[in-house]
Amino acid sequence: MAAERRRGDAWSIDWRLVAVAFVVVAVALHLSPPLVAFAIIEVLIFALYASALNLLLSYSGMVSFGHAVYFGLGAYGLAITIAKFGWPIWAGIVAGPLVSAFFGLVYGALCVQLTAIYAAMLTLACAEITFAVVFQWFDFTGGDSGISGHVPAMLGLSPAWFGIVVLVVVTLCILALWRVVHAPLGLTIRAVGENPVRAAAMGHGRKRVQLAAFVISAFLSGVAGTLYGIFHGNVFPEYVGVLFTIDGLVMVLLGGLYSFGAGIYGAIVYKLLDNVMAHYFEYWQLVIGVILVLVVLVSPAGIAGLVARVVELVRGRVRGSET
Amino acid sequence: MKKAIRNGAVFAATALLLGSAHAAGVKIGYVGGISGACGGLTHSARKAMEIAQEEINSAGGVLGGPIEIIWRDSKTKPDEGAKQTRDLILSEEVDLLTGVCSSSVFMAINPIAKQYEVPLFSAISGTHKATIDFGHPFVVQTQPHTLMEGKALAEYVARKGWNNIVTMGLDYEWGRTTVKVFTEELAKLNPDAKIARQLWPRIGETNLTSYITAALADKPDLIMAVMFGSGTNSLIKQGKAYGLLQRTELLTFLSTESYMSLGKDVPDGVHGWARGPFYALTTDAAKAFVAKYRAAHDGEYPNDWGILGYDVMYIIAGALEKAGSTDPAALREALGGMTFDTLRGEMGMRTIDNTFNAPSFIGVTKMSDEYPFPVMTDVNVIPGDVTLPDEATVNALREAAAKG
Repeated sequence: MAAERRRGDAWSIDWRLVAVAFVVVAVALHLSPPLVAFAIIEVLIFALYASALNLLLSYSGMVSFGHAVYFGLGAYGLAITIAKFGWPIWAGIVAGPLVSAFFGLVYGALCVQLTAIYAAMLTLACAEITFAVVFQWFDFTGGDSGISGHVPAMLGLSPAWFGIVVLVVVTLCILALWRVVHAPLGLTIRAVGENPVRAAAMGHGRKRVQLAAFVISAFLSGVAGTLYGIFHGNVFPEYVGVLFTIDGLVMVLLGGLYSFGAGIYGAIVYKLLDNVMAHYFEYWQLVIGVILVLVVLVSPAGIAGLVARVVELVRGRVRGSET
Repeated sequence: MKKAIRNGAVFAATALLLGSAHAAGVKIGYVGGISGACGGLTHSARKAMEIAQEEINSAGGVLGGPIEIIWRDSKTKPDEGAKQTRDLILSEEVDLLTGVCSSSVFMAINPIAKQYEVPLFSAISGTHKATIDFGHPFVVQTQPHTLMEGKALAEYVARKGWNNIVTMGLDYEWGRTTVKVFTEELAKLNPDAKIARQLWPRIGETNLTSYITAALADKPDLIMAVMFGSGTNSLIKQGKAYGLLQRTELLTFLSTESYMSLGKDVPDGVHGWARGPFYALTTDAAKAFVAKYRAAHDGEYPNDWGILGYDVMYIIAGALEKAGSTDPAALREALGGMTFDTLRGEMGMRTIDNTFNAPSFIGVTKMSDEYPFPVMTDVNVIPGDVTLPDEATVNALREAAAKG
C-alpha cells in the first residue's frame, strides 16, 4: 500500500499514457455508434465528478455525503443564468462551475468547523437543504419538471464531436487536479488529511486547507455537472439528489480509495455495468452491491489496487525472466 | 484472402440491410418508471398494455403486422429515461414512444422525441408543460393534465356550493399549480367562494396535525388537499383524532391504488378525484377489460394507470390504422380529426396542444360490498371539453416559456 502510494506521488505526468488514452478515447468516439458515444461521454463526465470527490475522500481526510449538490448546481448555474437571466450560452457555461465553487465555499466554510462524522453529517444537511430549495422553489428552478430548452443538447454537435469537447475539458481538469495534488497545496492537503495535529504544528491550519480542497472539489464537480447539463440539454432536482451523491461515492470506493485514479477507474466500471448489465439484468445494482462488498473485503484498494498488483506481477515476471 | 474479405463484407452488408429493413407492424418503445418512485403505479399500466397488445395482435395487428413493445425502465430518473429513450430510438428504431411517469422524466424525454421526430404518447405523467409550454408536433397527452384537473376541481366545488375553503397543497410544483388554477377558476365560477387560508405541507412530512388544526380553525366548508399517497394517508388518519370529517368536507386525490392500499382506513364521505377509476366505468368494453385483467392477474383489479395504459394502446393503434403508416406527420394529421371509444368514454385530440379531452372523475368514498376496498360513489365525470385551457392561455404559457 505504502509502495503504491509512493509511486502515485511521482511529480511528473506520464504524457505518453495521457496521449495514448486521449487518442484511444477520441478514436472510439468517432468509430462508435451514437449510443456507445453517449456511454463514453457519460463515463468521462462521471470520471471527473468522482475524481473531484476523490480529492476530498482520499487526500483531505473529509467525507462528503452531499457532493451531488456541487455537480447539480453546475447544471443549475448554467440553466438559470441562461433561462432566467438571459445570459448568452458561453456565459452560462462559465457561470455553472463558479456557482458550484461559491456554494462549495459557503457550505465548506460551515463543514470544516467540524471534523470526522460530524462534518460528514453537515455535508448531508447542506445537501438536503439544497435539494429542498431546488425542488420546491419551482418558479425559479422549475421544480420537479426542471429546466429545459435553455441550451441545445450537446450544443447541437454530433455525439462524436461533443464527446471530443468533453474529452478535452475532462482531460484538462484531471491534469489540473493531478498538479494540485502534487503541488505544495496538494501536499499540505494530504498532510492535513493524514495527520491534522502534526500539520497544525507545522503551521498549516486544518480548516483553511480543507476549505481550499472543498472549493476545488466543488468547482471541478461543477464543471462535470455543467457538462452533464449541456449533454442532456436540461437539469432536474435529481442532479443534486442523494442518488447522484451515492453514485460518486460508489465510484470512488470501487476505484480504490487513496489512489489518484479511483474516480476514473470507478466511473468506467460503474457506468459500464450501468449501461450494459442494466439491459440484461433488472437487479444490476445488486451486482454492484456484491462487487462493492467483494472489493472492500478482498481488495480494499479497489480497482486501482488490483491494477497496481497486476502491473507489479507483470513487471516482476519480466524482471524475473530478464535475470 | 481478398475474396474472403469481400464475401465477409457482402454478408455483413446483407445482414445489416435485412436487420434494418422495416418489418410489417409497429415497434413501440415504452419508457416508464418500472422501478423507483413510479414502480407502484406503473405495474398495472404494463399489465393492461400487454392485454391490449395481445387483443390487437390477435385481431390482425396494425399496418399489416403485430405490435411489438420494448419495455424500458426509466428507474423514475430523468437522465436514465433520456438514455433509454435515445437507445430505443437509435438502437431499436422504434416507431413511437409511450409510457412516461413523473414530470421530470416526461420533460427529459420530450425534447428527444422532438429532436428525432418520434411521436411520444404520454399515458401516465400529468404535467402540462410538455404539451403546452414546451409542446411540439410529436408529443401527445392522453390524460387530464394539471391545468385540467385544477379546473375540474373548481367545477366540482362550485357545483357543491361550498364557499369557505382552505387549500392544503403539497409544497412543490404539482401542489402549487393545481391550487393556483383551482383558485382562479373557482373565482370565475362562484364569486361568493373565498379561500380562507392556504397551507403548504412539505412533501414527505408525516405529522400533519399542525396543518389540520390550522385548517379547522377557519371553520371551512371544505379542505381541498392537493396531496397523494402517504400525504393523503396521514391527513385522513391524523384527521380522525380531530373529527376532521365531522367538521368539514375533504377533497383530495384518491386514485384506485390508494383505496387498495388503505382499504378500510378510508372512511366514508371523503371526496376524491381520480383519472381512471375502473369501478366508475360503465361501458361493456370497460367491464370486459376488468374481467380479463382480473382473470390474467389472480383477481387483482387494475388501477387508474392500467385504464390509461389500455386506452393509449387503442389510441395508438387506431391512429396508425387511419394514417396508414408510421410517418409522424401522417399520424398527427390522422389524430387531429379522430374520436376514440376508450374505456373512459369517447375522446379526441385537439391540435393546438395535442391534448385529449380526457375526463376527470370526482366522487365520494363509500365502503363497497362488491370490492374488498372502498370506492367512490356519485362519481361526477367532468368532461375534458370543460377543463381544457383556452387557446389564449396556451399561447400565453408558450410565450412565457419562450422568454424563460
